[in-house]
Amino acid sequence: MQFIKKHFVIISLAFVASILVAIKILVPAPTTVSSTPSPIPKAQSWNGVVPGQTTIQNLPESIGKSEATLNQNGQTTYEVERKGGGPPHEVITQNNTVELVKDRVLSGNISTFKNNYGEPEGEYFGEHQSVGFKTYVWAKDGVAVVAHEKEGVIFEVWYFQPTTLQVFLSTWGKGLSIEPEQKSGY
Amino acid sequence: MENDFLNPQKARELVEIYQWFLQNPDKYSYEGLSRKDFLFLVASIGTLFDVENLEQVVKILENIANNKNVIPTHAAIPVNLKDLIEEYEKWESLRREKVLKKASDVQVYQQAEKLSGAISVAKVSQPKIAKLVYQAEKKGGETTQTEKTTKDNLDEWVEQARTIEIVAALVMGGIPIADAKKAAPLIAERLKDAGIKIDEVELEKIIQGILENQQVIISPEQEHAVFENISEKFGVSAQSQTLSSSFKVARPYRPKRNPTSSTSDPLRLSEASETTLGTSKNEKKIKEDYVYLLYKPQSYLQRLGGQFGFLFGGTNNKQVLEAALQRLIIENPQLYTDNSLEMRLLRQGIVNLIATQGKIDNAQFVPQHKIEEALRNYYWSGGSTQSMKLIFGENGIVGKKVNLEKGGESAIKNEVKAQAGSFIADAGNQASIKFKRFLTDPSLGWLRTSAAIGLGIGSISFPIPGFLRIFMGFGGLGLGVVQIGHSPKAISASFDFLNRLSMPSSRGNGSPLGALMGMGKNKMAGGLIAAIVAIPLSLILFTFNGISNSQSTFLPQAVSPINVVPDSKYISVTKTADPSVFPGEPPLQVKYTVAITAKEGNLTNIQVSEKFTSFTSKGNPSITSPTLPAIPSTLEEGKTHTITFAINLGKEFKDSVVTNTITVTADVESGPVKESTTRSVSVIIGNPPTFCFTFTGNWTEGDKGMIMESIGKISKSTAYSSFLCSGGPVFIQRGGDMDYGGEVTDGNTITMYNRAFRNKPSLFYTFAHETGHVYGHRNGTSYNAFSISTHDEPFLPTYTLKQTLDEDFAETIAVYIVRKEVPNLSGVDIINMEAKWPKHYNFAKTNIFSDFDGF
Repeated sequence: MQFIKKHFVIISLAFVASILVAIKILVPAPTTVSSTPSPIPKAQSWNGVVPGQTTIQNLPESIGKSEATLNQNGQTTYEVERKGGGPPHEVITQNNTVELVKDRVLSGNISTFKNNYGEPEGEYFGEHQSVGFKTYVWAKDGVAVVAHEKEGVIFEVWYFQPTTLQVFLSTWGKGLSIEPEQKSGY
Repeated sequence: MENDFLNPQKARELVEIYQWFLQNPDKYSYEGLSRKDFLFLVASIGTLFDVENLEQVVKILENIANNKNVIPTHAAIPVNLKDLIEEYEKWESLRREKVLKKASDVQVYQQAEKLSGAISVAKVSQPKIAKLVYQAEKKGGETTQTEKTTKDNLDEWVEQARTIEIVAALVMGGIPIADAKKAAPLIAERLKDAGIKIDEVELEKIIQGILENQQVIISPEQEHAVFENISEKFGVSAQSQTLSSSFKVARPYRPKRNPTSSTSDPLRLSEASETTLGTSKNEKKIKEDYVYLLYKPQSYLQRLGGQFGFLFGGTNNKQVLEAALQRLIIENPQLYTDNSLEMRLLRQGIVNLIATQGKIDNAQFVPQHKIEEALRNYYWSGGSTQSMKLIFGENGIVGKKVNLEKGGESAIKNEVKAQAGSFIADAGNQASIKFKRFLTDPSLGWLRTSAAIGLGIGSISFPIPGFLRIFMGFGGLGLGVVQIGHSPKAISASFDFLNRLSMPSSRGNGSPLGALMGMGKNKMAGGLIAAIVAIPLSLILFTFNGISNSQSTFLPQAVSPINVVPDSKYISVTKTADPSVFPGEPPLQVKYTVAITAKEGNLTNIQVSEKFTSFTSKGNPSITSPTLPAIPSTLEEGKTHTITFAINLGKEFKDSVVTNTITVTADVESGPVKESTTRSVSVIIGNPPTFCFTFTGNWTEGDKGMIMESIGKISKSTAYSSFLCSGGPVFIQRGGDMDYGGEVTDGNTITMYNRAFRNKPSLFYTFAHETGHVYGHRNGTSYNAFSISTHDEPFLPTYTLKQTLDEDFAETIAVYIVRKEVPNLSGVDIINMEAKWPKHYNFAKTNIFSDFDGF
């Protein structure tokens, strides 16, 4: 103990120095890493139209003639004639860029999509629910399918930029609900 | 401290009132302040100065008025006097507003209310106050009174107050005030009789008898209200008991406690106590009544997080339940009123429920006849998980927990339970149930451990923003601690380790860290677990709730239709069948009565035709139409011509629906040519087939008959009905008032509301429309084909609400079915559907009805 008392200052300095050296050795110096932005997942193409990429100016002619446009909430909806008749497809743009495509397939079965993408991230009530259709969402794949709950037959397929379910529900899925519609009358 | 009550100005006023009472010995009150109340007030003031003589008190008041006496502070005022002062100040306030000067029913009621407070004070007043008041009554006569005399005197005043209260109760029950004033003293006289044995039934008889003797004509509802008001005021019990001659304050109904019942569930009633209810008429009425309480306790996560009130304030049970009660009143005004006996029992039940149950997230009171509908809606909305049957007894309300999901209640049909169970398994609560299991299931320890490690490593190594890194780190830590919580050895070992690290004392009395925090080992562990779990989970929950709320905000507002089917403007036809329901077996004779009225303009060239249709499970036996009586060829405006005819139905009509449709056609003078109108009436014989349509809930025979008639008509198309029924039963339930006529709530259940039952065409159309929705639920391919086939045509205009493709689909089916019987729908001529909307018509004819058009 006498040794410690005698050399207390030196020992203290050595202790502090050891700590500093240890920190220097063990803690790596911050390095400057040039971060590369992770690529935004690309949306699926519908007849050459890619949500998030295709602009109004380069809408391919292959999609057919746009029958009408509707302006709603700063968005423009192009109604594209459906071969074989029936309700037209819808191409919805915002700031000159395609954001959403509603492909009125009126055929096929939801099982195809389940096989491709697995179980949907969410199932919701939306349009056509009063005749048994639900909207199945694969947000991370940029796909939603409106299909008959019992038969699986598809009414339409939505294509959009891959995103999270939360973002989807707050944007294109605003009209969807986890509960059946609340009835109201006049 | 300034005494606001007894200042010179008020003292002067009291002295003036005293003098007024002395000068008007025959007056009962001064501007609404009764003599009795005033004397109580003055006597109470005397207690402040320890003076028992009224004249001395008045002298003191005069001194105060002249600023010659010390005014006591509030601190010196006894509690009972404070109450009285409050009453007095209320009276003053009312007087200022001149309310009491109005000779109205309100005055009587308010006066009684005021008196009841003052009387409550009297009940606890010191004997010397009563003595003093008695002296005042005798105008300063005897200075000493026995206790008995004083008590009698108090009773006398109480009787006066009681009479006023009875007047108020009668007036509030709808009795004219003049009649109430006549009857009240008689009722009070009966009530005050010492030793009288009185219960609810007797009281009801007394009130009834006196009112009859007074020749007061009241409805049963008024009588019930009067009875309730009086029994509430005087605390009359259903159990026979003696009414004391002294005043009884209103006594709330209290639930009968069963000594053997668990203290943790005092609402629970043993079977024995349920059967001990009396057998009098009144008791029987109550015994048969009950209401369901569906409620949802706070979730596991909410309870866990609830340890940190700042994160989870949770719900206020009282507010939740009271809001539910208000909703019950609003939605069922015919059953419950705010002041009804049942509502008071329910409110009392709530007190116990709050005291004995944990936190409730939401609640709903449901009358018995609405339970099925409520269950569907509730389960769909992720509502209740607990159910209680609240049974009204004569002494209170008793709760009996029932399991509505697993067959504990026979009132719930299997299909409801199946739907509810299916929903729970498949939809709304699935995520929370799984998450709860993830946190609690002992067999999932490996998963929790893996997730904790994964989250921990992820929080360090994943290239994610700092916020998510912290979030994941906390999540991993929380899960880790939860998992430790499942292993007592692990947790004790970890805390032993902490103790050692924290250099415990040689005596091993716990860690200094724990001591520093002032907590024992267990508390610290519990708090740590709760904190670590609650913080990240609360963030999860908040985020999740945000999503849910944003979704519900954007719920589509689709609607089901109800269309008015207008009658002819010129011709009115009413028609009845006798009998309309025949429960036995044929043969029978049915007599029809038809009244034809010229509503606007004279009718000429009147022609009447009729036809019979029928359906049974064995086919559609034909009926030969009878020869109709002669009809005048003209009918003047405003005149009515009535015809009758009868048919005989043989045994082949066993279990059938026989429908007769009559069509009246006429030319209207200065109006249209060949104007026509049609009426149908059906006779239900025995138990006709309903195919896959299944009635659920409560139905009247009449309503059921109308639906069965519609089923019979719709079922004429084998293609339609067979496909419809190939998907299993279609349930039909009876709804109440709604702004629309019907709806399909789950793809299999049609709810028909009052609005649809206004007339038969409306009902037929609404029912057909709703079957169209059911058809869509069972045939999506057909719907897609419909969207292609009819795209070039506008939606049918007969659907007057929000027009959408799915509603147009159901409307197309409905119009196709009803167009011949209801040629004009919502002011639109639909009999020419083929010409006006050929694509809709052709689709319906070809794709839905397989070319059948025999409706």
